[in-house]
Amino acid sequence: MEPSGSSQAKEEQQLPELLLPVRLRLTMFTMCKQGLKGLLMGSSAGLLLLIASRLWPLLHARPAAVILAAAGLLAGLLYGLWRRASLRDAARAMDRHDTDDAVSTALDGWLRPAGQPSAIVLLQRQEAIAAAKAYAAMLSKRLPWPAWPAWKRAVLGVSAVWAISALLLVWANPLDHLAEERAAERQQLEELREEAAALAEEAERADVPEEAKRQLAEPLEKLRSKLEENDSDMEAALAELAEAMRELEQTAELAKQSASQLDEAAEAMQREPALKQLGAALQDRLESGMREAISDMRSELQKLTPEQKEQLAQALEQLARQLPQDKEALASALAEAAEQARNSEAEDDASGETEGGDGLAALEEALAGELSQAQLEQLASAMASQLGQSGQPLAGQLAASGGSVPPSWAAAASGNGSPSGSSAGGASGSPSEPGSGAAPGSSGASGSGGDPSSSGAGTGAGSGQGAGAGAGAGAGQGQGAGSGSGSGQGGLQGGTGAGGRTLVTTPRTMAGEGNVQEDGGPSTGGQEQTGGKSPMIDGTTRPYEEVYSEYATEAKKALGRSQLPQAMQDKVKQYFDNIQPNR
Amino acid sequence: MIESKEQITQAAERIAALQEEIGSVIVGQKTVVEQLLWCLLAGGHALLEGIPGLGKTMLVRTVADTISLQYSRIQFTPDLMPADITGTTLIDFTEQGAAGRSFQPGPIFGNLVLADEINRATPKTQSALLEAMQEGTVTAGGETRQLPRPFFVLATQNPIEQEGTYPLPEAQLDRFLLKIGVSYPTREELKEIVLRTTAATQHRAQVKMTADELTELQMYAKHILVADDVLDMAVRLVMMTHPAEADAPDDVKRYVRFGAGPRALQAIVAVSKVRALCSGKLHVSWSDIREVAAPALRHRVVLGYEAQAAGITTDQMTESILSALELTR
Repeated sequence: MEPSGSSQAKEEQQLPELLLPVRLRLTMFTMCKQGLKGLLMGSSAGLLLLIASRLWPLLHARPAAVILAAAGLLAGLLYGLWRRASLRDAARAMDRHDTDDAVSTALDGWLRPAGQPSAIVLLQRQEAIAAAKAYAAMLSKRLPWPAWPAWKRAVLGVSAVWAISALLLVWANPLDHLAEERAAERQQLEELREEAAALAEEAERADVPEEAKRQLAEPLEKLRSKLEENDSDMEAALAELAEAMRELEQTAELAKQSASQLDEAAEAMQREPALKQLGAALQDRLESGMREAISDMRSELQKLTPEQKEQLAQALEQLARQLPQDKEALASALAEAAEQARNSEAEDDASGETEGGDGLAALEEALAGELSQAQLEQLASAMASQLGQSGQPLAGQLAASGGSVPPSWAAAASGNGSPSGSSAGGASGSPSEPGSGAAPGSSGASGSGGDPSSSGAGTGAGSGQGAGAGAGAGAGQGQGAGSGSGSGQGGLQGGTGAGGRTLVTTPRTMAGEGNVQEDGGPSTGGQEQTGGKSPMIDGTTRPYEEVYSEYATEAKKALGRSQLPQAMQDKVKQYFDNIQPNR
Repeated sequence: MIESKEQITQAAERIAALQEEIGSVIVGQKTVVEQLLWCLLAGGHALLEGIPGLGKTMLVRTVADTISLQYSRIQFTPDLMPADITGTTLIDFTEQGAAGRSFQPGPIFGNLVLADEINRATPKTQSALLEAMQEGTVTAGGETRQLPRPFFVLATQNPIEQEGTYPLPEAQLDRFLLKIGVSYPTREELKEIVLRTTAATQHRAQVKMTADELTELQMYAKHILVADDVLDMAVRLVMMTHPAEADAPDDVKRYVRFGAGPRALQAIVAVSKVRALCSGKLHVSWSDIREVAAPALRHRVVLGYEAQAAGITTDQMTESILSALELTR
């Protein structure tokens, strides 16, 4: 009998409904099978990784092995889900066991209805539904879940792999430490690369002439490119770093010599009344003062008598002659200025007015260029210092890992200072040895750990070279060199380690053993500044370079704030020059 | 048209009754009888191969008796001419003495034609059957004549005698729906044969089906459904008989010279439908395909010399392919 319309529609829905549980079960089978396969493959990969980590130093091998196993399981499950059973697969599964291709045939008619199905299609569908119902009733027998026998091999494989993996996970791997060291080395190399790049950018931004920028940037760029080429050779990296530092120090040295020559010229200028102001400005490295002095000189030139003008011209020419040959530009500018001073007499006669002329302008520009040498020196020194500071952990790491440390870094590797190893004063002693800081007070030498700008009394217990401003004398095993204004401001801390300058230990107690001298400061009591924050915490240990950098910065700020005599300012500068890490 | 399941059930019962009636005359050979009936119900021709004396001729005659078909027999001999089969045009003279032509139909004009020992005739004579088997027509004297419907050729051949025989060409073989192997009877069957043939009275088969009923059953068989999956398997089965096919089993690649053509697939599906009908099913299943594969491929797969030397048969090749396919289900 041909089924009626409503029963036909009901039958149409019956077939997929009967197929659905079979389909779900088949999908579960597929997911489990693929998940087990994925787990086996991922676990095997993890096991290989664990074995490889016993042969070669591999970082994070253990978590990676676990992640691989988990990723394999997830990938297998996802693949199983992607290959999930279709209705046709479910029909095939039924036909394989009981229904003798009846369900597949009926499904064909259901999936591709071409108009009204024929009577035989409907009849066959009824038969298929009956057969499918019988199958569904026995689903748990036909497709038993879980199907351990089918998964037996995969389960055994996974168990075996996991057992070996567990053994390897529990058993300590001596190469793990080596892998961590290498990773740290790579990280430090990367940081070094970034630092070189940052310094190169800083050099580009610096307010110095282009030539000076080039001198600064060139070694840094070279270092950066070499470090980028070198991915893992720490020794080569340290050698490159030392080379860059050497070039920067060379630049700083040249700039320093140039500045020193400028100082001599400035002193000579100060002996000449007409050039005294200019000389003082040059001595103080004040570009604005220099420009102001030349401007004054330009205006004063009109008031000078011809004899004075001649005298000024001769003084300028004398200065030009005294300059070394490499100061040709400055000498030329001085000669031009002298000519300008001398010629202004004739102009006065002719026009009745004095003009500054191009000679003084040229001199102004030449002197401005010379003044920039000081800044160049400062920058080059700071950059070399910073590179040295960055290289020290690298050298230490290399030494700790048993690598061959380049000779220039040997000291740093052993914790005894920067590669150049130039410790001011050559004081001996270890950072842990107790010593006495300079007595503070009006002399400005406060104990280490004090606020740089604070005033007060205290005795540092650090060892090494003490430095203080004013009359305070660092006591202990270091050498003290101090200068101060006596204004009562806190000076710079002493206690920088000399023997092992790499690390500086802040004294835990301010009670020193040295000969403490207290200076009451000026009778006015001096100016007292409070506030600020100590960069140090008592008892902590910090790299010398870091301490130096901070203290040098503070000293510069202090110099800028107070009206110290030039001689005193020079002494402070010299002091910091002498104790800079890269000397 | 099939309107109810009962029609199919009744058809299966009628076929079973027919088979039973044939079995009342023919002892044993159930498979042969079954396959012969598949051929008739599928509207195809059968080639029976077996040694002399196994009852091939009697079987065909009995089938003709049970279905009330017009039976004719052609004994193929080397001197048999095509016209002896198709018929010839004669000159007739009327009583008034006027001459005229008339066509004298040959034995091919029957519903059930027994081509006995077909491989004894020359290829020229054998080819006279080609048009009849494929088109159901005979062309003689420049005129094409329609053969009666239904039309079946049931040919027999002796596989042992090689002298004085002309092996059927591949094109001719391909036109036989099935090649049925007639095997030697068992001891019990032999005893039964002797008892029946030497008795005073001999049982003659009764008519159990008319030609129209046979045509109706043929129509039913054509309506039987085939699932895509099952059809795919049939296609793969035929494709795997080709040694160049990548999926073909190693035995096929080694021993088979030529695989089966598209007619093999047509034969497998058509006969599978009949088999499903005989089982009272509305659809073809893989088991039907599996059962009809051997007789459908037996004469269509050409083995190489290596296979002949090793005694490999096409049935073994078919079994090898079926086993390989079974694993992929």
